[in-house]
Amino acid sequence: MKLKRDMAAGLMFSAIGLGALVIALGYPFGSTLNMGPGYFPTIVSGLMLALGIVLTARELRAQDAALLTDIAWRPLVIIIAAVAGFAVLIQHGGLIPAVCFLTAVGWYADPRRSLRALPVQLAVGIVVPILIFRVGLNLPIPLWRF
Amino acid sequence: MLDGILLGFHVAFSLDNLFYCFVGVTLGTLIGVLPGVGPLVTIAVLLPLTFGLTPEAALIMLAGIYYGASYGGSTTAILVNLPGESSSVVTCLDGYQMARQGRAGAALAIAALGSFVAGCIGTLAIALFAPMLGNFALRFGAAEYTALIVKALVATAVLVQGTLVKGLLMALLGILVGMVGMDLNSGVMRYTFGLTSLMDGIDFVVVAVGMFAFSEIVTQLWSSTKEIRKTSEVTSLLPSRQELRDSALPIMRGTGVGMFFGILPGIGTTISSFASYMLEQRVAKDPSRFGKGAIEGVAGPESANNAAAQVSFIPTLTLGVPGSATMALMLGALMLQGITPGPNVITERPALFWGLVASMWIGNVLLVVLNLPLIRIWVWLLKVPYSWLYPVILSLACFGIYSLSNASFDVLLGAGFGLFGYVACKLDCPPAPFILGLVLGPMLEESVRRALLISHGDPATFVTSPISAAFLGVTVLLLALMVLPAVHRSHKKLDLEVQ
Repeated sequence: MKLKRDMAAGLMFSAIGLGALVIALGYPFGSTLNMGPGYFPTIVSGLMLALGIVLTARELRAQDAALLTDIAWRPLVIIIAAVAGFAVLIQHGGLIPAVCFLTAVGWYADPRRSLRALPVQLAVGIVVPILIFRVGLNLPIPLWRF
Repeated sequence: MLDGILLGFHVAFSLDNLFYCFVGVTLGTLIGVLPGVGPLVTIAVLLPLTFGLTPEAALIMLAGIYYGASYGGSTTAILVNLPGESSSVVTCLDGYQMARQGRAGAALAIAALGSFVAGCIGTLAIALFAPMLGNFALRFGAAEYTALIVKALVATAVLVQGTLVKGLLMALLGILVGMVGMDLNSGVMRYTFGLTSLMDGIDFVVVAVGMFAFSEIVTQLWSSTKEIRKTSEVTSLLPSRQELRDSALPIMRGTGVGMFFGILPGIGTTISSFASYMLEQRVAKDPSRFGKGAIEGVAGPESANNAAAQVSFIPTLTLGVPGSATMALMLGALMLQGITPGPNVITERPALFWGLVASMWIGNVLLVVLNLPLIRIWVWLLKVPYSWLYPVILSLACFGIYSLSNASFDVLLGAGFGLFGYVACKLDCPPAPFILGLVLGPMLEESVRRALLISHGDPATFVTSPISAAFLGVTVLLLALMVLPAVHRSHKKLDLEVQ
């Protein structure tokens, strides 16, 4: 079964709106004269829930709705994983391991990858941030942390 | 006012700032020309590089990047029919046709010339009108600001492509994300889910890089499997005398159109280039030439979008209301530098304001001086395959986020926003209202709170003030227009043309 695009959007926003509303109700609401921390979030998430329902309801009746197709699963998963791995490695491994992981994993996302390009990309990926962030901006990011 | 401009040139011509202007313009053009990298990605990725600078230098460099990237976008529009930003979509129509007829050089030269003329006049207009608008804005109280921000958010949601409801929803989500962290008034933690890393809120750069760099890389990698790009050759750069004569008036008209739309808060550059194109078509003796390589179709819109880009700094700086996602990024950068945009920015930070105005002009001169002779380099850059580009962008983006506060949590968060950016793109939800909501959300909450405090809790304050009532009236009008079926249909048509 194919998912309708706007239906998915409507459901997503309704869910976020509902969740945010439930959380917001836990904050002190205050009064109109003296708005509490819950006042504004309640209004915003309430509006979001309402509009999300409107969007979903409109799609229920729509005849020729656009479908949700052509999702770039492969690059999406690989790039997000590469960035997440970078996040862990930069803290515990240092600059060089983090960049190597990022570039090598990110390389798999490219439909036209060639093995010959990888060493060059690794070298560029290591040298460019060192030049900009360590030499240029003088940030203390250790190259190696083992 | 003359003092102001003199001060501005004094600031902008300091060796440091001149250097940053140059770096910004060059980097902006360089990255803007690269295939698959628009102004949004460019600014998002380069944003962290400006943190170490003084506010003046940072803003001057960012403005340089902004113009450079826009110009780079026009170059790709003309040479490969690939608009860098929605405002150069119109340039594709006739620019690419000219390129196919072997007049690529002339189209590029006219685009640069038109942008330069528009930039000069636009700078002058800012110098004249910004203090006036600043004075007007001094009368703004909390209620007026609330109405203005609501108007800006709704206007952005209305003007972007796609459904209005989704635009509004994205704006609301942006506001919600902007609330994450400690509430400054009560000290209550909102939406932090018990994570200490979220206490200070979510950094704007994290969201921008995630949404615009990471998700763009995913999109590009997916689509690069399918397309093959053909680059037109650039032969002679000199436009013929006839072409120059034909573009003189369109450039002036485009500048006028651009300035008009640029000064309206929350409208942006895309509308102005469309309006200019339609105007040129209307006044042309032979409208059928349009779409087949009419030089007026390049000269007008290019001048219009540059004039609008320039002039829209007025509402962005004096009212704090950006007209586009790119402008919202600039506003975010400004706030990160500790500058609160507002009517007082001119009087309180004259060096910053006038320095920026002067550097805009210098940036325009640099663009002409730099771009036309270097055009062969840009053309060569156009052929760089994406496979070589994205690893560098990816690595710069990751380090950019990490360098904010040496926190790997930020990078993880960036990855999350990358995922969200891609989902939003697939669901056809526009990113501009989201970014705007994120930037303006905290200001909105604060002005609502203050307005209600001043009025002793009476919500009628938003309609009893004439300025506030006028903004809210425009907002309601915009919404009503969108709900009316006839307008809805024509909006859809415009969408189709844009795509």
